[in-house]
Amino acid sequence: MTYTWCGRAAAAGETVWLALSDGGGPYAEAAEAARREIQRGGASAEIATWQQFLAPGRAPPPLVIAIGSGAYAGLAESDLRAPLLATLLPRAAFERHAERAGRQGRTATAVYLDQPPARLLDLLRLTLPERRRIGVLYGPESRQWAPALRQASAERGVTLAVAEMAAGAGLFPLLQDLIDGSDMLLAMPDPHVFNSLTVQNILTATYRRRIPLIGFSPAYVKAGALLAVYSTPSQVGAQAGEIARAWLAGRPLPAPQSPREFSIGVNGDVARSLGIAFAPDATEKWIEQLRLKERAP
Amino acid sequence: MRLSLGLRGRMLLATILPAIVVALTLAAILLDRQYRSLDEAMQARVRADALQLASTAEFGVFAGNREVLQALVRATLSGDGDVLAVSIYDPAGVPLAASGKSTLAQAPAISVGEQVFQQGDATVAVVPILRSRLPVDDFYSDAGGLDSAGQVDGYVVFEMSRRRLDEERNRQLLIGVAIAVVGCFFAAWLALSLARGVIRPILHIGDVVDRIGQGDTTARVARDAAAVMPGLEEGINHMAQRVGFTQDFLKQQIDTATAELRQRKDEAERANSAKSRFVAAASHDLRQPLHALGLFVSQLGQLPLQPEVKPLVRHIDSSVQSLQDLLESLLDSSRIDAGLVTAKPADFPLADLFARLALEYNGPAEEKGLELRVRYRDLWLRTDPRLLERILMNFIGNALRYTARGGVLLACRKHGDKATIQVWDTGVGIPPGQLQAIFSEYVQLSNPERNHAKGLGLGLSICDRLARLLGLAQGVRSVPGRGSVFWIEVPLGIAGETEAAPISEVTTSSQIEGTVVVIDGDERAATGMAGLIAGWGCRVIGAASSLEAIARCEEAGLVPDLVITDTLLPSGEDGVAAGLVLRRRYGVVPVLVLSGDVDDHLLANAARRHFALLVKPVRPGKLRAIVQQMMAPDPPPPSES
Repeated sequence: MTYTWCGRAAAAGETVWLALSDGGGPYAEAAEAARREIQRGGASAEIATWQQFLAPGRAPPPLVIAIGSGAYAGLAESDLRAPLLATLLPRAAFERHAERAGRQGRTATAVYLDQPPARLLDLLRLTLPERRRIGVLYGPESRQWAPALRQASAERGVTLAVAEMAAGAGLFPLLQDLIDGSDMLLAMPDPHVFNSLTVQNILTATYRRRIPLIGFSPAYVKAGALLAVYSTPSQVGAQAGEIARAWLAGRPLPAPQSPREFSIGVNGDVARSLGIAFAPDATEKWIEQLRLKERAP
Repeated sequence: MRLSLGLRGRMLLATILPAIVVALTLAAILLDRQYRSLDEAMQARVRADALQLASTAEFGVFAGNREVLQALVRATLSGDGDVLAVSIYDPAGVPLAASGKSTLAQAPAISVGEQVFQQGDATVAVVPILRSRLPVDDFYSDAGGLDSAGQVDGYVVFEMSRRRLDEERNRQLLIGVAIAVVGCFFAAWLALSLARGVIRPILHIGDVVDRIGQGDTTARVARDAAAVMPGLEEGINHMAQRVGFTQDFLKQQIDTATAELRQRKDEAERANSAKSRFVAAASHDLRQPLHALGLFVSQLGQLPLQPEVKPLVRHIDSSVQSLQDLLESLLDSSRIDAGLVTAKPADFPLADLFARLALEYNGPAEEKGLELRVRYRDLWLRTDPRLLERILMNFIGNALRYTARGGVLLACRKHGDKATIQVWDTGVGIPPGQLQAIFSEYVQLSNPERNHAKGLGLGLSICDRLARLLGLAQGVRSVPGRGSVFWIEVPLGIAGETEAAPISEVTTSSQIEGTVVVIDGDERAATGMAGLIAGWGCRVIGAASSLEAIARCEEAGLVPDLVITDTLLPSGEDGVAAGLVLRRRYGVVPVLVLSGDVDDHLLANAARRHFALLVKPVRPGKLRAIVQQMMAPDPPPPSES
């Protein structure tokens, strides 16, 4: 992985490309947030799908922001010679193509969707202080979080029960053992473990043991997870826009980073079912407390 | 083959058949629909149950928890009595849980996907257990090309009994049949009542036409029947009226004509009857003098006469004979015409009849130089003997009259229950074309000059009428120039006792001895009779009454050996009574009653007393034969009838 740390002089009237995985929805939302930040620096930004930008005869831009893993993958594989900033994608997806993106002397960085382990554990300490045994089921793509999580749990005095699913192995036996020794199950993004076909049974299994599942997107909250901490497309888009503005202003591109801003979703029905009581304004308070903690030196 | 159905049958067929076809078709369609929807409902139910089980079993299969799955299938089985078997397999077809008695020989293939089919008495659903899908794959967890197609974790095989379905089907069938039957009955009832409304008037009109056809011109089509076919009713009623009018008119005309004819006929009958009565009366009045004349002539012939007078006497005698014959025929004919002759059938011996005929005609045949042969048979016949004798007398008289040489044969032949009496002659014969004509009145074939010695031609006509009266067949066969045979067929009778032996040959030449009392009011007849009888060698005492006869006998000192008396005596006494008076005086003495007419009462009276009876005019020959016989030591009572 190669990062270029040298900045460059801002050039007024330069247009940054905002390349979408596909038009509309969360991608457009993220792109709009990024453009707003770019325009605040006096530069302009053009929003289109990544395929449109790869049309022949176009002059390369100073910077390309790939929104979504699709746009990032497509651009990383292309011959486009421009620094690449990826956002609205999980870390695993970024790292899958980072090597290829770094070839040909291109610089590439990202604003992930993955929340930092410290934030996750802090939130769990805030919301479920009695549950101290956290189960985590890793898959091939999420196992990279294991060291960070282990460290964060150690710092916070909570027990981490860990299981790792090998490719092609049965999910249920692992899950059974894991939840038998946990108070909650923390889901880390990995399509091999958590996907639309497995979530129902995982939720059923945890519910039968009366332990909550902590998800990583609003869809999980809707599907039956007790709560989830996540960043919205606007939040990550704005963060990418700020990085672009800074880069255009001559600052170097930062290393790939976790999202700064975040949201918390709670499923009140699941909470009631599990006998957990949250205050009506609990999420705002938690966000406030977590921000305070993260900004503290 | 054409069925012959009446109007009613055809109407009923035309109305009931479509109704029944509709009712049955509707019932069949309803049943078919019901069956189909029952089948569909059954399949849907089995599928729904299987899907529900698949959904419930998803986590158990995911968790690989066989106990849970076994509990689940058991609960499913016990929860529904219709479920025969439930089983859950993993994707490889390895059974995870099973309960109940499966009808399947082996696990069904899952590769074909969801399926519902029928296996024996069960409906089977095979449903895959699909992973529930929750929409959590978004940009937060990039699937990155992972296969997110629906995953099959196993499958559920659900078998449900069709028993209840079959029961329901049977129930539906019963209901369907019941509806069809009720429908048919209703349709038939409706058709019947509709058809009746049409048929009844038609049948009624048919009846009326029949009645008119049989002559009831008062028959009319009723009003309610006319409601169906007003034109027909009007036409038929009009026709009936016209026929009635015409018939009445014709009847009146016929009645008038008939009355007129009846009047004419009555007039004619009255005239005929008057004529017959006149003839009968005239004949009766003629008898007495003719009887006397015959006796006188006969007496004259017995006297010693000069040779040139003798032929003259013979001619007179012959003329008198003819006159007597003619009178007898006229009398018979008129009596038959006047309806005075009635048949009195009786059983009698043929021999008696033949004997009397021989007695009657021996003399005349001898006189003509002919031979009368009689072939006796021991037979009894049944008919009126008196009338039969008259017929045969006519046949024989006829035969003698038309036969110049040879003879006449009287014979009888028995065949079956009948006897045919035949009279053969060797006479002139009858041409074939005339055979029927001879039985008509006044027909004489070989007498164009109307020689009265040959009779009036009434004889065979009388035979014909008498035979018809007796119901006997008669006829004639003839060969011209060779002779004829007249025959009459008489039924056989039942044999009884023979009252008298057949009359044997009578010798006419011998003298008769004894005393004969002749009682007759008519002086001429009495004188003639007395003279004749005296000529035969008898002593004759004549008288006008019984008392006078007794007085004369006392006077002469004689006892009568025979009494001959007329029926009507001037004293008002009748012949039978006179005979009885003499019998009282002289004991059993034979009595011969001579009558001018045949009176049934008299006949019966005479027969009861064993008196002989002869009808005048009596031929002298016959009289002599009878007198001779009656004066024989043990005389049988001969009778003319």
